[in-house]
Amino acid sequence: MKTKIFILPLLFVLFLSGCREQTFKKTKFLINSPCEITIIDANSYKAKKALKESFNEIEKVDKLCGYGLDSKVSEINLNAGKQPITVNNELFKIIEESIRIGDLTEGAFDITVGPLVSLWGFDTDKPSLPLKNKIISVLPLVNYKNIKLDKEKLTVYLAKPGMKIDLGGIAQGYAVKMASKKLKEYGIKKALINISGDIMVIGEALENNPWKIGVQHPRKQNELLTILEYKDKSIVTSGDYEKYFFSNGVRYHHIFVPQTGYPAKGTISTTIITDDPMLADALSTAIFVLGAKKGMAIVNKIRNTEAIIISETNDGTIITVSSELEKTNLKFNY
Amino acid sequence: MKSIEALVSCFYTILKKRIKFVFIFYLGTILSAICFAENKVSIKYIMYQDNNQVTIKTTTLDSTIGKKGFDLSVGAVVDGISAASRDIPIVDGVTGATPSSKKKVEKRNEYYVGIGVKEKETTVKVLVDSSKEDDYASSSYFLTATQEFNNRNTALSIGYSNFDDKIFPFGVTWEDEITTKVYDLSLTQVLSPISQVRFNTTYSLSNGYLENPYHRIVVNYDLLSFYYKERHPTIRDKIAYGVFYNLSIPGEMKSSLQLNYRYYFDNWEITSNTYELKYNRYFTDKLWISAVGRNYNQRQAFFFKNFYTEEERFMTADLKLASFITNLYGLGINYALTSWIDLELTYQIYNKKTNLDYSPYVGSVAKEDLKSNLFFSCTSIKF
Repeated sequence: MKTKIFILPLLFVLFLSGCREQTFKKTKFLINSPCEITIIDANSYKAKKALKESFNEIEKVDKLCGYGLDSKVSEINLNAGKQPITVNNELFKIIEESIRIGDLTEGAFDITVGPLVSLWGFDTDKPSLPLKNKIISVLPLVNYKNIKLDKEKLTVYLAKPGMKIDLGGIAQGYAVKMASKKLKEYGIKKALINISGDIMVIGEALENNPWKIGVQHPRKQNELLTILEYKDKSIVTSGDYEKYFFSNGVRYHHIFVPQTGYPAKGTISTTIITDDPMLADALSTAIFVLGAKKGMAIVNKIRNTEAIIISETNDGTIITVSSELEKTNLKFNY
Repeated sequence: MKSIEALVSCFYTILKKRIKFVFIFYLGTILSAICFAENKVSIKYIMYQDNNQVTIKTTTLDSTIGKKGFDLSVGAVVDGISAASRDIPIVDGVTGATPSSKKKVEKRNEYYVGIGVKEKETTVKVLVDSSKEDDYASSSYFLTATQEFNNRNTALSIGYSNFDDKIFPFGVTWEDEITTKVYDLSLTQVLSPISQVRFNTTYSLSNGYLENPYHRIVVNYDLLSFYYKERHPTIRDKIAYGVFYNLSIPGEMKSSLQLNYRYYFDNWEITSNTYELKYNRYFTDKLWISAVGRNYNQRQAFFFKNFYTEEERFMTADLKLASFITNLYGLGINYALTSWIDLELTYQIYNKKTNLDYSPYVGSVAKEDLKSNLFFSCTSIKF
């Protein structure tokens, strides 16, 4: 009897402690980037299992979209102009979605920029300014409309020899999407996935607060441009301040205008806030290329989508925000 | 071994943009290594990892050439610090452009040269050091003079060090300076053929930019949050008293026991106590092990708060200014491979506990308690 009297309060205490929300956080280096997942949940076992499984999803995407010689993406590129390559349903859908976003953004998002990325050396440690005639010579290889998909046979064919697809502008968003799907399958209601700045928040943070997401200042390392507060959203930023080099005082970065072969001018940072992390990832690149005016016109057409575009002009730095975001009176550190 | 313990603290300090006192201890150790004994080249490799995804790798080359009454020591240190995420603690995540595929590594290069001259019972040593990293540069010199007397059973040593540091943080156009002067006095007394004691006192004065430019403090008002840079006093006076006791334990197997106590206080109202116990034991002429345990407890600076509710004159997000306890445990194996090659391997575990409420969602300064591992290897070649 004494033992029962002792055990009951103990069980009660254990029950109460089990109900308290805890934060579980883990970081891994995948897709060439630090990937961090934060889960807030009362069930330690469930949270740890969900963490593990969602990282497995990111690893799968890493293998699927990677550039190793044995990857499907490499096989598609090596067979450009030769033959269609059969891919799995997942990779087919990523390429299909990339083409759809290419259409949506009037060709500003184009996964066939691979030859340009290689020519400029942004896939190496030492990018450099290529000769103009070399840039012109690879431009015919850059056009997503030359990707031929066969839905029945699940094949991908690059119509011109030398074409190369580069999924760098969408793979991280897709990885975030797959990781979030896995977390939701495990019944996780509060989480944050951050793959190298591509962020998705699920539900709310602790104590029913919205998640606070800082936007990296494009010109001041370790400073934030602004802080956004969201729940159930994807927030992705593209900028010219991480992968770049200077030549004769001009900054050359890695986000190309597919039609000219040169890095986009004017925009220095674009942040997209929308529901789908894959769309957010691709749109942030496309809107960067299109610039504030054309870019914002497209953003306004897409449901539940907001943007912050920072441009450098002759009149100084201009911050353009989409209409709904403007109503929140965001403060900017610029 | 002493240098390893100093390096544990030193690494943690490098990461947090340094506290000069620890750095002084590290270089002071190098200075004391000028020992008029033998020609030697040492290659050291140290790896530090903690639960904040921080890795520090350091390679040190140290060379000493000694003749009777004269020693010359030169060395170079290269280390790289990599972190998985940026150090902006005020938000849940930061969205930004995708970094290049390599992890960002902060590099530090350091070079030093030291000379020691001994004439009868008087020894004078000088060491000059220069260190540079992407956003920090430091130049310093160390002077010590030691006089032995009482049939060399007693030694009195005085020391002076000077540091001129420049800080030029990323992303800003300003730069600032810190000057630090350190005065050291120690008395060593042989008590018996198997025991000795040393009393030591150190005074240091730092003046200048003593904040971490990357730290931010969040203050939550009803609806809005404001972010402030650190504001520390511009002067820091530090005083430390220490006592060290060494006992050689007689027996078939040579062994020794070392006890160390240090009391510290400063004008930021930090006080601390350090207790250390070290045991060395020879198993053969060629093989000996060393075990160390250290406990450190600290009372916080007068302006440290885990949560700031309003803007204040002094504010900090530096956890080194909080109250905390650290424990260090380590085991080292030393092996004389030949008469001229010595190998040393050491593994240490370092834990830090603050007892502060860790609530990143409401802007606490506190982070998860630190747990780190340190691996140290050293190959010394005598010639």
